[in-house]
Amino acid sequence: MTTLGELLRDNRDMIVQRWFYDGLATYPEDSASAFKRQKDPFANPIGHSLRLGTKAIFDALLDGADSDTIQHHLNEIVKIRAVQQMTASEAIRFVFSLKQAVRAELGHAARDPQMVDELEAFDGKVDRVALAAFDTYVQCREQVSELRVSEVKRQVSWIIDRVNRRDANPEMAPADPA
Amino acid sequence: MAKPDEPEFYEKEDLLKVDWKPPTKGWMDVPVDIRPGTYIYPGKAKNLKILDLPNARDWAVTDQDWKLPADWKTTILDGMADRLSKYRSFKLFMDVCVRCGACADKCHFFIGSGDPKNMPVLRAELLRSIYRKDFTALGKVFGKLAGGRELTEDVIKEWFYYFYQCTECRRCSVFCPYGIDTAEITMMGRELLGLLGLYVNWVIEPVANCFMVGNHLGIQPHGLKDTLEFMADDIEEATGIRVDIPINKKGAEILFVTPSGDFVAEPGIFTCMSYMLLFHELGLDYTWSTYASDGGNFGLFTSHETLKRLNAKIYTEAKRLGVKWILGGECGHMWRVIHQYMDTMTGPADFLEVPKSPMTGTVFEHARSTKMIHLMEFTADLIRNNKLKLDPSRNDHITVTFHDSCNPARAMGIFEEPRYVIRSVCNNFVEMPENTIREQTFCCGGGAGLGTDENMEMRLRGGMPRGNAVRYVQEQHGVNQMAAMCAIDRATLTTVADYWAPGVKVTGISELVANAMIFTGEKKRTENLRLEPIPGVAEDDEVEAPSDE
Repeated sequence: MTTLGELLRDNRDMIVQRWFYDGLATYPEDSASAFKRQKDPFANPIGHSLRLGTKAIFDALLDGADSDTIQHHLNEIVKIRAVQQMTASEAIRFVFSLKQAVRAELGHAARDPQMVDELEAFDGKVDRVALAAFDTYVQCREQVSELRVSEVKRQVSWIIDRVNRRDANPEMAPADPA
Repeated sequence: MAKPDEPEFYEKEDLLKVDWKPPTKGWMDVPVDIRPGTYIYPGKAKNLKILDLPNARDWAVTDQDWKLPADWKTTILDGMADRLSKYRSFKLFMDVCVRCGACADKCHFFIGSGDPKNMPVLRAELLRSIYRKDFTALGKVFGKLAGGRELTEDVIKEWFYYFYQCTECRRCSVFCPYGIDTAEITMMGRELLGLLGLYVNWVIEPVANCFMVGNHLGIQPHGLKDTLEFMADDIEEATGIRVDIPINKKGAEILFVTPSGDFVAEPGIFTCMSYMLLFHELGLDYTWSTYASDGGNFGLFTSHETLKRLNAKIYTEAKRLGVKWILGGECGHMWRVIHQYMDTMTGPADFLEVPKSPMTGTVFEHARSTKMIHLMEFTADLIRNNKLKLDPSRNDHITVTFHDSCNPARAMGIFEEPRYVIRSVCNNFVEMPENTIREQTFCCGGGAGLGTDENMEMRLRGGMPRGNAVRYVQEQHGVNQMAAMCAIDRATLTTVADYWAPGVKVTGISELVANAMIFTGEKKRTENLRLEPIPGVAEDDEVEAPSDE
């Protein structure tokens, strides 16, 4: 009896490709095809991070690799999507689409009653990745707000500090030792 | 695996019918999705009034009614006709595009957003579709079939949204086989919007300030004097040297003009302090001007008339003060204005002399016409002629990369001078990948009047390709600083790096120079101009301390 793990390994390239394409499908068609085509990581960071990330996350799920690898690649992908024209759900939906990609590639085998439990366990893993993706998304959004505040502060803090130094508050002066 | 002639294959395809794939629609049918974080606040009525601009009123981008004047349509079409007849380049750019797609994936906003309307070809098409409909025979007859479309209020909103998502960086034009300059199309788009009183406040308020006071920030003469004195205090603390601050000094040899961004925000102020130290050490006979107190010119992002109104102060002030030539600080778009427009717009500067370095005797022939040179040209010449005492090891804790600012790089071709200067003052210099530097440099995402905070999300999209390249050299080569010779870069790249390449700080090139320079009469340098301890020096002190006991 073939296990789900073996099936996933056998179909790895097709599953990952399908997952990658589904992730790109968040973008309008013209953009998605450009991101699919261009392989240079500097000319196409969106496509590059998604291509690399989907592959690495899928492998990590199969091999039970440490969660750091998954988190690293999630960061790469979600950080970009967190500042794009997407709602939160659109930004992390690509994680869930791995489930469909697996079922689409496994075809009948996915509906084999023997496979149901294993698939359920796999789905659970995907859900955990999705939860991590949501945490990452929120962290990114919070960072964007912080960056906005820091930028404004950088524009005024130096000059205010200097003005205050010159016109120092006499009440703040060190007490007279006498 | 199932084959196409097996039933399983088709079942799989059924599963592909997922609902999250966007429907295929023509770009004209996709409405603009304006949401907070992506647009810039509109120009306030008070600023438009100061500049005598039409339709001054307060409004919000999220309002349904943008309070356009009643005859707005005629105004736009007349404005377009006027510009088509006046500017041959505009007419050509409207006609000549064959939609080859070479530019499509070259825009940093497209690369970072995935929004097809950020493809330069489509951004131009926003305007071109109206041109076709109303100015070409084919478009008049066949309308949409010939790529034309009706001018509606939604089109105006779309223009406002997308022409303020272009930083006029001109990267796309490098790849266009016809040399179509999308920046100029954006300029035309913004001029037309301006006819209806549609401006962004982050551009038009600085323009109003500059028009009244001489700089974008509205710093009054006494405020500027105070600011420079504060800087002199910090310089003294770091180096033990008290620098002179010549202001409005008649008969000085050189007028120094720098972007006002250098006066307030970190890290630009450290660049400004560095200019002051350099000039002090050289004993340069120069002057600041409290009127020509901004090299930057946000008029460039408004209209050609405004550009000219703001630029005029530089030559006027040079004449009033009786200087021989003009030196410009580390600014980006200032150099596009000076290099490509100033001479014909406000020249000829026949009352000035061809810039000649008083230290080296070098005559800057290329500035024979404008009489103004860039500080990096000046500094590179000083170093080349051994006029500066340098100790690059003071910068050994820094591994620096260089961001080519769009305007000095693509508009002026200043590629080598900054690199030569950086290599002379830093032992660790690393280039970013080839397709992200020099002519192909990626914009910071905040130029052309986009560098404000309310559109942070959009700026981070635009800054992503640059940030991505920076992070690469950070990971591969331990880069911890990025040098840039543009005030907007220094302000906005700091944020871009904090998000995309955290840990990389931004610096002006002059700051690196000042930290490496050995000044006459300086005290033992333990702090840099940011008043941070210099790592190597601090370690030495710690090692020495126990041996003294």
